[in-house]
Amino acid sequence: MSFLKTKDLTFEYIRRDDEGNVESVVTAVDNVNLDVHEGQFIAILGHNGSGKSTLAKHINAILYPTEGAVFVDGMDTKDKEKLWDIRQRAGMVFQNPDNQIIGQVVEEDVGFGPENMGVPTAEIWSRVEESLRAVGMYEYRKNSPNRLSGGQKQRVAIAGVLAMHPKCIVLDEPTAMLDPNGRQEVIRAVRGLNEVEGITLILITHYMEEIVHAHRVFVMDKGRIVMDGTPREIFSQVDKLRELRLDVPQVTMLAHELRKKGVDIPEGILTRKEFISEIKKLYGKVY
Amino acid sequence: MSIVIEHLNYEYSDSNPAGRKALDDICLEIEEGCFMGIIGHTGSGKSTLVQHLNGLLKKTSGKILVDGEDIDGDDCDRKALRSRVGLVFQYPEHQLFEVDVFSDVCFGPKNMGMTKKDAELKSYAALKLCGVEDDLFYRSPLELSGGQKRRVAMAGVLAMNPKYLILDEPTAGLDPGGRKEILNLISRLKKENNMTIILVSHSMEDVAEYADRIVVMNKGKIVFNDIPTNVFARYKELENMGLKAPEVSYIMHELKEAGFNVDDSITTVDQAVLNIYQRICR
Ligand SMILES: Nc1ncnc2c1ncn2[C@@H]1O[C@H](COP(=O)(O)OP(=O)(O)OP(=O)(O)O)[C@@H](O)[C@H]1O
Ligand SMILES: Nc1ncnc2c1ncn2[C@@H]1O[C@H](COP(=O)(O)OP(=O)(O)O)[C@@H](O)[C@H]1O
Ligand SMILES: [Mg+2]
Ligand SMILES: [Mg+2]
Repeated sequence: MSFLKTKDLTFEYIRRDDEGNVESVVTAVDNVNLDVHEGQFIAILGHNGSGKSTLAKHINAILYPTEGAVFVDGMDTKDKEKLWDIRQRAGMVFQNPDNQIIGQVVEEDVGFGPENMGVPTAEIWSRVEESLRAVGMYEYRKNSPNRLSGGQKQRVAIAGVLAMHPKCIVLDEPTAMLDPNGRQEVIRAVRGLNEVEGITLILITHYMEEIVHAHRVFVMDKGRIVMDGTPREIFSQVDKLRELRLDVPQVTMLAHELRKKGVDIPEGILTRKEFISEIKKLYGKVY
Repeated sequence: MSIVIEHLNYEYSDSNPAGRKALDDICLEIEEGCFMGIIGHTGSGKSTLVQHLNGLLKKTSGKILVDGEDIDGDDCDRKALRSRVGLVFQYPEHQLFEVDVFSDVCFGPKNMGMTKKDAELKSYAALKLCGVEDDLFYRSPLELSGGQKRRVAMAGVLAMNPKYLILDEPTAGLDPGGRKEILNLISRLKKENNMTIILVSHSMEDVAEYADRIVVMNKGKIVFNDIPTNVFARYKELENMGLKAPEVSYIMHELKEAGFNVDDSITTVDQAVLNIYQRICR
């Protein structure tokens, strides 16, 4: 079933001077048609300024199309009456953790969403605990969020969205500020939510290795979707990705470079395990 | 000439609940002309440490000498210190406050006492160096994408031509192409202008490739201070601190375990390609 649909979505940031005359127009999203099914794990890649965040902000009705339309779980985001339904169904985690934390105490902040939704108190606490554990921040539950370092804050923000039990989570570079371990914890947690509970995942990231398990990858360039495929299909095109200012995971690059030297290893290797087994196939001793 | 840190301690006044110092007896020498990487789990004290080096935070105890001068001494010129030790903040939003991009970058050099014209020339050059296109110059910093903000913040620091350039996670939020550009720019500043670089990063791959030395922080303390190969050889200990080795190191370890005679101290893709090709494929 389709969860998110964009129809010829175009968005322009328009700047006006004091008299209201248009000074400049930036077309940040340009005629995008997306169709994301419930339960999918979708990744969006693209250079800085390619329009990823602008697109993402349409999914929970922070921005509205200049032209075209966006449907979330069948609801037109322009329908003002559905605003809170849409926002509950598609939770959002932003790039900068400082804009999303409001509570004075971590657990209070995480409980804020479900409380607003009218979830019974006992369940709020169990959701808070489960969400904080999922991001490895349970031991900080009594802390004041503004005393946490950047990475710690981001994990709290993610917990806050998890506690709303949304159908879909849109994550806009959620791991940009995390250490390797924190990054892994977050990706594991959201993948778990996708695999176990069928939550639709839309992940925007500049870390290529985070999306090797995605079902489908979209690549944006200047507001448009220019590539669309499985991680293997996308990561098999190293040169094209480089032109788009992107990259591939280290293991993919290693295989690609060996292939260029004449080694008969396929393009689009995604994991260490695949790589080792290919090398063994080619050069391993026959026992 | 160098930055010398002796027994530096720091506690945030509203001390954290664990009752732990944010910096715990830090001793470190950063030699002129080196490229030092600093890694550590989030909350390990990296940002707290680098904010001491240009006087943004005041130590609880200890001593910091920049080129021999005690930065907490009464006769220390703070303005001069901030242009000598340039710091690009972890969150560029905290650094951008002027009405438009160009004024923002001009602020530092003007504040240092440069004439308007010199400041503008310096700023223009710095913006170009950081890959900021002309059409962004008169936009409000608030209207930039994440990656664009970071480049502008960096240009603002470079416009002051610092001798020591500290970057607190400068590539977070940059696209891979931009990350390469910024890192190549930094290493060029080191080679051509003999700038000393201190790079705080969560990307093990980046520090492995670019840094001459790596300092590892854990819970407010320095636990390792060594060349990349030696640091990443201790990947099991790093994992216990929330860190890891670059992905390619793990590939080399696994190949070795599978019986291939490869060098498992390798930390970059280029080295790995060569080593695997020579030892296995030929
Ligand atoms: N508030 C705003 N006002 C005007 N223009 C904006 C605004 N926010 C973004 N833009 C512009 O819209 C375009 C798309 O920006 P967007 O933030 O969606 O990019 P992005 O793909 O998320 O980039 P990044 O990887 O750097 O986060 C860019 O040209 C940007 O400068
Ligand atoms: N403004 C602050 N007030 C109180 N405690 C802080 C503040 N900033 C950071 N801390 C605490 O100091 C420690 C080090 O944080 P920080 O230097 O930001 O780490 P890093 O940059 O390595 O992620 C953490 O325990 C953090 O919670
Ligand atoms: Mg963005
Ligand atoms: Mg920090």
